[in-house]
Amino acid sequence: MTERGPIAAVENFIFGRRPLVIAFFVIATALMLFSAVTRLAIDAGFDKMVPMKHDYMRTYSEHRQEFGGANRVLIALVADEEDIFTGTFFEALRVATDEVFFITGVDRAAVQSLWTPNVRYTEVVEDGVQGGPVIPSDYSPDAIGLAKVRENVLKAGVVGRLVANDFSAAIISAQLLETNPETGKELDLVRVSHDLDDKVRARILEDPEFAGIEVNIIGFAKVVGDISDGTSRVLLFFLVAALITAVLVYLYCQSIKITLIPLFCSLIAVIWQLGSLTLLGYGIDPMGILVPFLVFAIGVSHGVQMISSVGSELISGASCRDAAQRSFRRLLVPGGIALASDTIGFITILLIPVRVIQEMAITASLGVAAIILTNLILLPVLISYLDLGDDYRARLRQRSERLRGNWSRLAGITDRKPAAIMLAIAAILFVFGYWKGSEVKIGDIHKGVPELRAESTYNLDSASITDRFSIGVDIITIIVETPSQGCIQYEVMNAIDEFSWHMRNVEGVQGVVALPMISKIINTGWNEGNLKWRVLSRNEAILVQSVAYVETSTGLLNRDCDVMPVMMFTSDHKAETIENIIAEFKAYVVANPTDGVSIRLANDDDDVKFRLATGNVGVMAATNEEVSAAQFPILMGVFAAIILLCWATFRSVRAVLCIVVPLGLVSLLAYALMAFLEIGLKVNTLPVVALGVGVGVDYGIYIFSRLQEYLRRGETLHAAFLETLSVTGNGVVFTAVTLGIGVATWIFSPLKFQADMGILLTFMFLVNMLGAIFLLPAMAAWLFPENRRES
Amino acid sequence: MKSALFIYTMVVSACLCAFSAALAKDEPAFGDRWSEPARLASQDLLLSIDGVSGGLVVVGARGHILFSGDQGVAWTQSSVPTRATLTGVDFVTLDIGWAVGHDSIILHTDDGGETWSLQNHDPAAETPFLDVWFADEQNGLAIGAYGLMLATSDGGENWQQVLFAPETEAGPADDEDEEDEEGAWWESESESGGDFHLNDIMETRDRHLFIAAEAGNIYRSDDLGASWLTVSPDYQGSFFGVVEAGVGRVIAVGLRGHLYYTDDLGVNWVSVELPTEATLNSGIRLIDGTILVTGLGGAVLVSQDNGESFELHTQENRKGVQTALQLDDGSVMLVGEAGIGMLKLGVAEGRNDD
Repeated sequence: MTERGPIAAVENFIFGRRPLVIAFFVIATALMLFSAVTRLAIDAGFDKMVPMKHDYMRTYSEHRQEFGGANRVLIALVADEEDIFTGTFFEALRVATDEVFFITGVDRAAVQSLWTPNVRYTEVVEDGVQGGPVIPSDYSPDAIGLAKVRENVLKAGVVGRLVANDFSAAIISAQLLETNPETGKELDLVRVSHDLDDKVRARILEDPEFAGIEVNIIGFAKVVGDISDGTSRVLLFFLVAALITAVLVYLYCQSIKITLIPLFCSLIAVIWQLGSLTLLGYGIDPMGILVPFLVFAIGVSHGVQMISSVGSELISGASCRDAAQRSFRRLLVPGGIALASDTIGFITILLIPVRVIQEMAITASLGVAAIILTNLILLPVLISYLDLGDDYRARLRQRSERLRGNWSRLAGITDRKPAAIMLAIAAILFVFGYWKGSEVKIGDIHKGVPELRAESTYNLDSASITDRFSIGVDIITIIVETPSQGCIQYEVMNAIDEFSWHMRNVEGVQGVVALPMISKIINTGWNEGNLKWRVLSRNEAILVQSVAYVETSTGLLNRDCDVMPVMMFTSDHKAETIENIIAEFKAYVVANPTDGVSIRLANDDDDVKFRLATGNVGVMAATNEEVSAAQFPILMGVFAAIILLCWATFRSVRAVLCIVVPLGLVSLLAYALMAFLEIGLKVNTLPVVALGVGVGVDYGIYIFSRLQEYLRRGETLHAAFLETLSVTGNGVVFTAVTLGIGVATWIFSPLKFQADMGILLTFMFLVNMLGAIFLLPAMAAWLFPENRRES
Repeated sequence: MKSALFIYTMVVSACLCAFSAALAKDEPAFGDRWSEPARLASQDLLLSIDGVSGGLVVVGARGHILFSGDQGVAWTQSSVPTRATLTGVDFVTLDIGWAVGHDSIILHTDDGGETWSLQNHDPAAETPFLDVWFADEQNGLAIGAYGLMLATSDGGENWQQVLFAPETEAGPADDEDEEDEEGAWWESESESGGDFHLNDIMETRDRHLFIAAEAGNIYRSDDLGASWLTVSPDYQGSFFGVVEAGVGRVIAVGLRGHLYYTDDLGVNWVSVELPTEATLNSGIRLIDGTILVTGLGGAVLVSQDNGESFELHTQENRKGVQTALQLDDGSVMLVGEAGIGMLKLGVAEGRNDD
């Protein structure tokens, strides 16, 4: 069979120089492997995970030197008895405090617990103020000593902060340094996290003397540590998924040699992807670690199409070389188009201005582009060298006969009535998907650190601590920039105070901490504790007195006291909560522009400026805004690209409809699934929707291109679809199931976002397949009535 | 009667007034800063409560004034022409009352607290009022920091600064002589140390006035504020509240759990040992004669024996309780750091006579 045209030219070029082609791949792969092995590093920088160009994040970066350093770790010891006032508990607290003190990277002067000398009580007495350490130097672990401590705890005002509100627990608070004092390098937070577990948690939990005392640890360092630990387990999931895939491919193609070729080619694509990652100067981050698997999966998917095609050629008696060459010819265009749409799907993700996501978009598109070379060119070339005997052909034929019965039943869907039923079902699903899908929430829905599972140790610890103490873990910080020495100017302090109070009243804000409040409390102290003096003094000298003792380490002011953060503790970090607070903030700033004292956003140097926002919730607010802004452009981009490519390939509006409508339905259903499973639309899940569409289109393109080929030969739709199914259908169904199973293992990942992605990708792989083999032919039945079988 | 109380002293002292600017009735610079309606106003710092004929009014931080016509079931926040912290409120009828506070604010209402007009305002003086008392619809006193005292005899239309200079010797009330008193007043001015914070003012059933003041000072007036005597017990810490107990007994409470009572209008004081060292802010006498004293850290002291001994009932939130008021149904409403709350009496933590 000789054909003319560009494809034939490419075919002849490649198959005429097979050794050269193989040599090219060997060299390229060696280079990429070298690059990947020597320079690949795990890179989980905080900056990469957030939209740094967002306004809020700019505020954050401008002030991080002064306030970003507040990297605190809280270790709570929870008493097993009624309260903490037992000798054993205080001994445990002392031991734990000592352990924390000696962890590398802990700022020793700033460690606080009931045992540290910097935690003191003060009380107003007749001739002034007196005070002392909460645990006196003559402390004895008996009833008298503990009663004294209880009294001092109340006087020290540490209830809610260092001691639980119900006295059931006590906290050790530690501030982390920026650099490791031993090496002078940036502090390794993962190591701090491990030290906290190994030295503090284990020390208390494993000591029989302290039996019953529980340990809860929270803090940014612990989050980083736990995510990093989870990330290393991602590799395990990768291996499990790859193994399952290999076994299934073998079961499918019944030949170890043929099994190995698509796996091997897909692995080469992964190597290229990792190599290009390092060539571009990127590292692997917790999110990006999923990309290699995705590339592998897509590679296998296309590889299976290729071996299915080869198999059907072999059945009809062709030699391996002819089978490979014909398959190449047949699949280069649809495969190329499918992969091109995947690539474009990935590239649209670039619209989310978060660096991890953008890197993921670039590396994933590079990986998919590599698949075009490895699986559409190298794979058939390698197969052409195989020599498969007649018994293999027989086995394939047998399997093909077995399946044909199923396919012929399925092909019935192209008849008028089943097609109508199918379309009706699709219409109902559309309505359902639209209704339920519109309930999808942007951002995080659940409590706790969103990267980790709700039932992870960290999130349980966090819930335990926020329950017992007056400590919020969800914080939005507003940065107030004021004229120099703003903290001793009544107008400035009052403006901040009024703003704080206004925000305190916003639904979803559980507490606000800002310098003016502290100043008022100190002023009360200077007035014998009389609540009637809990005010900001208009007198500068008195105001100075009321802020002089507030240290910059509180994070409430900077050294020049012209920047004062207002920390708002939110009830949760759901997107609605955040949106509401941000909207109130913006409205307040607009409504109070020149009111009495000037609170303006103008660049006037004399004015007080309120700027959003830092704190974990501030970061989420910024991210949510970016996600919601990127959502529609991304989907529009993906679908526009697919529509364009499909039209360019098939030159038929009907073809485009047949392929795109099922895809659209599945995307809509994916939204509905997210709403149903309470998975928020966020940085981690938005790409999945785009990726899923890109992957799903493969099925449609493969099936339709084959269908069109048979239709052009003048066959009825029923016959054409039956033929299509017996050649391509096996591959499509098989691929979907294989990838679905592989990705489904992610659901057991300790990382929440990986689990979420696992659920969504499994859904996308499987349901897109169903769309391609049920809805696509049903649509074709109505769009190509001239080809319908007479019934 | 009321004119007799004030005539000369008011006029003279007004001349000495360093606050003349404060008397200007113009809308002050900050007068357009009306209080902000706030969802959580009833949970903000609230400092004083008064109830007459079933109406309740509470004042506190940021110019919050809340009033209730149904014994505190529902509260309405008034629109108030200031955001200064208000420290005291006094009503003479259901409708007519005054509130005072920082920035030398005096506010007046004649509709039960719904709307308020500014009668005095002087932020520049940096002197807060700490309490207010009215004898009737015309005559009243506002007291505050550094011996600040303003008086009115026309319902607040005009407020005059009074030079607060109490006589140091305590004597029987009926020995007072109006003419002598005025002379003594002048003489004692320099040595009186009259710039102490005047924290709380209270009128007894026999129409004696008591003021609890800074640095262990208690002052008494037997002529409704025209003249004052120092009747302090021997204690140097500040007093923040005075309350009338039964049978002519007056109790003063203050710093670090100090509580004294007198049965002879301040001539002799008896110190009562308390089961707390919390600073005490004020006290009230309930209908059944129970004495209730409130303080910082959630301290509420209860006496069933007219103030001889007290039980401590620390409120669970441990927030400072500024003052209390008994409602019509006998329950007790508290106001303070945590806003408005109801008294909860659990098991007493200790008695002074244990």
